[in-house]
Amino acid sequence: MASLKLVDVTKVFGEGTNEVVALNRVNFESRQGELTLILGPSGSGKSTLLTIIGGLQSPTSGEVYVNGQLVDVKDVKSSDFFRLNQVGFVLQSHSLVPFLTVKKQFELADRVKKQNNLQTEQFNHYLQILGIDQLLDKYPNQLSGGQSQRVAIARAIYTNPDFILADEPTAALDSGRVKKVGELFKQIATAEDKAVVIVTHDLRLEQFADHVYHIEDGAITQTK
Amino acid sequence: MFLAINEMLKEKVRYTLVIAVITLISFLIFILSALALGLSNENTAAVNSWHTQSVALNKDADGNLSQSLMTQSMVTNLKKQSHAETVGIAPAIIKYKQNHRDAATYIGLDKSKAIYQTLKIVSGHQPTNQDEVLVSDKLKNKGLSLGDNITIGMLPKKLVVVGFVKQATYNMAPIVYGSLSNWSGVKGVSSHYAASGVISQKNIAIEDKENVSVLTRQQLFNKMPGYTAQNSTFLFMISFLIIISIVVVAIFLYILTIQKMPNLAVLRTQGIPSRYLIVNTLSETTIIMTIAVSLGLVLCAISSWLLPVAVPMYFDPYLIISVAFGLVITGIIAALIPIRLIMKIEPKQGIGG
Repeated sequence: MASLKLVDVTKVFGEGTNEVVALNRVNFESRQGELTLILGPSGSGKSTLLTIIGGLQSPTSGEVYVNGQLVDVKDVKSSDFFRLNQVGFVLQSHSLVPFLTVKKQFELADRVKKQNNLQTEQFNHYLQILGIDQLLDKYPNQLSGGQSQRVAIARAIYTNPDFILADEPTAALDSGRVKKVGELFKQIATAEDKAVVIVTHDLRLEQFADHVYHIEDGAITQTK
Repeated sequence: MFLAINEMLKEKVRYTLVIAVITLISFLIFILSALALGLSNENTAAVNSWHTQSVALNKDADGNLSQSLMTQSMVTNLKKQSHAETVGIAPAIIKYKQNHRDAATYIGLDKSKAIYQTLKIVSGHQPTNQDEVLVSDKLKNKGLSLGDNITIGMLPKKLVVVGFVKQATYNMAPIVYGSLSNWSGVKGVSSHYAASGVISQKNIAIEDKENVSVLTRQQLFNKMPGYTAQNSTFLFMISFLIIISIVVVAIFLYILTIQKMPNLAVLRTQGIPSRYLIVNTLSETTIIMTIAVSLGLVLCAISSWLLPVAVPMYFDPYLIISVAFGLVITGIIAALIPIRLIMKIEPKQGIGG
């Protein structure tokens, strides 16, 4: 069963008078089939937490476990492998390659990760749900902010990862789309049996979450 | 390759401009290389066509064959070597068709020897007597025709043109090949002198070490007036252009990579290995350089067709291929700077604050 677990994770930037504690003894868990929401204002440590969960940087202290295995982020090759094969990222900006059409964004994923990507039929189903099935020949600069974000979600799902990590996935969406995206993430978590973690300040997503954490000044508390 | 091709297809204007600049630089390098070789060839074509291995000449001439004078006694021993043959060289002005005058080099040969037999006649026939000459086909372009009478240097009599010869230039001047017996007359020296030097397709052994020096073919060229200075100048210009091309390609690739850094960071975040992005950058560079160098070659070919015959360009396929290959390698070297940038991308840079 896929799971992500952070135990007593602390992240400190700088030294001496410049020292900033971005995360302070954070304990966190996300399991397969569940949607976990991390809510917090800007500068609360959300993105730092996401980078540690996603294997992008190591904590100053504490441990990160993926499927029960202690993760060593300093090993670049295995870290790359983990992110490519087990994590699907939905990022705030620049998440699409500007010179590739929507269709070719997925082709790029196929070229780098040759196995275990979603089957055409299953993927087309998601494209329809996201409302981007008619946009496959468009370039990112021909898409609205909302359309770009939905393509980024599709790109994250396409590689069929165990974990979906989303950084403010609804930042550019109206309430109607937020509902659809929330439902989609929930569906991905339950129907596709993924562990979905969303880092956001958008309270509209709270209703879709199985677990909700609040983070402020690097300290995390579970509220649901 | 996938990213490289798609990026170039999407950003057509940007890449067209990049390719255009590199095309112009490579075109200039090709033209200068062809010109350098052409000018060098104007000095050396004849001696090369004789397959010369070594040259014996008067030591006092300081390696300048046209200034060398060898007496009968100096050449007697040398001529005992069957492969050695005497040659008389005299820079001179030829006059033909009333008012035509051109600078030329008279080369007097022994008709029974190898050089004379191997001259490449493009029209006309071999001379049948000592008053008939073969001339460089460059003079044909200046209006000289078969059957024309010419006067040359100090020679009191007229000679008849009976044929044109290819690759017949010496020290930039077109050659008039004639009898060795007329050489002293053309040069205006007494018949006491037998020739300018002795040439061989093998190594010449000398006994008279005090007055005779033996040079290799390359040493002979290096002693030609202006030859080394001219070649060094071209070599300097071409080397400098190649350095400029490295800098230009490096700057372009650096700017293009800097612009893509946020996207590359996201790709690294998504777990796409640096190796994939580096291979992509190398592919992009190879494609840009290959297209630009090929266009440079096409421009060069068109220019050589349009330029007047008087411009001494010479296209050696091996040299052109080497320069083209060198330019592509140069571009790949220039790609090391953006590759360094890509290697330094932190995957966490893809996550916004």
